[in-house]
Amino acid sequence: MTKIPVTEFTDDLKSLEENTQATDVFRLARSRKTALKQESPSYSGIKWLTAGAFSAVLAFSLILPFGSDSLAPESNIDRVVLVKSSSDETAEEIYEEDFYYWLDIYETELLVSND
Amino acid sequence: MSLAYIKTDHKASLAENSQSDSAVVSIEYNNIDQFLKHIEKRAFHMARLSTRSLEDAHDIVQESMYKLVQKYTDKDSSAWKPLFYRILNSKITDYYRRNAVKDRLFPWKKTDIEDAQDYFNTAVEQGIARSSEEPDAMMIRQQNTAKLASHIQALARRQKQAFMLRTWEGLSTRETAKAMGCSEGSVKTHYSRAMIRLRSMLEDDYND
Repeated sequence: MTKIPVTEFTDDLKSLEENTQATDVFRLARSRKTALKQESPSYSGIKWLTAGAFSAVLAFSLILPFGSDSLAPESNIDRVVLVKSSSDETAEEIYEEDFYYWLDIYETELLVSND
Repeated sequence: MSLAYIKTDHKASLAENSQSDSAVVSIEYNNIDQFLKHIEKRAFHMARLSTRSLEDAHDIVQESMYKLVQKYTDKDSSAWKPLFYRILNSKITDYYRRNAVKDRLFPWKKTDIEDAQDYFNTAVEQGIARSSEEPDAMMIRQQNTAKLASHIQALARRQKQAFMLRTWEGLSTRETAKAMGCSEGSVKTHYSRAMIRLRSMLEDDYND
């Protein structure tokens, strides 16, 4: 058995390197330029994450107007204002007319009994 | 394979280590751009053989280049190579760790690993060979390269690193030790084990 010389391995590995696909060579050149300029590197994984997040936001914004009105902030504010104003009016009315009617009755009864 | 044979072979490989150290030729680079241009394809294939993923290999090489430029441009050009491979190896280690965590968290989701055969089919389709070679020599080289690469993928991680840095990149034992972050003795052990394994797996193909 003859031992395979290291140079055989080296030659084959160099052949692999020399025959790198054109697309890979292009991407490597782009990576080198990015590194030399110290721009933020672009990762394939991050690209997918960004694309996923963007499409999720887009889908959410499309679904929202048709799905539920209760999530719209403006309508909530209007409703709160409406409820507040109507409750104030009722309180005043109760105070003025209905709430102390029993006092009048009580006073009238006292007067009658004294008489 | 007997134990005696392994021991003899191991000694022979260690001797080969010191022999090839003397043959290491260092290239001087004028600037970091020239250095990266010289190293990028090899680094990419090393990352691809280690990760079995085209996209991850590109990401790892890009990150390594970025970090080298960011941190070590001011260093002497002779230090760039070991530093670059140190970064590359640590990125590959990080990749393994991330994948191990991912596998634990999402056991049902398997990492998209490139099949060794797919990788080499494309390599063979491209016609890995030298234009100066005869057709039959080209054919043999294509087959040998495909087999060698698939067997490199099967090596243990540290053996793979030591083999690729010593044989492919031509780093000395000392430089390889720096790049791998271990002692020279460990490099010799990993390298000789890798050589023994590869030789035993490829002897029939290479001796044909």
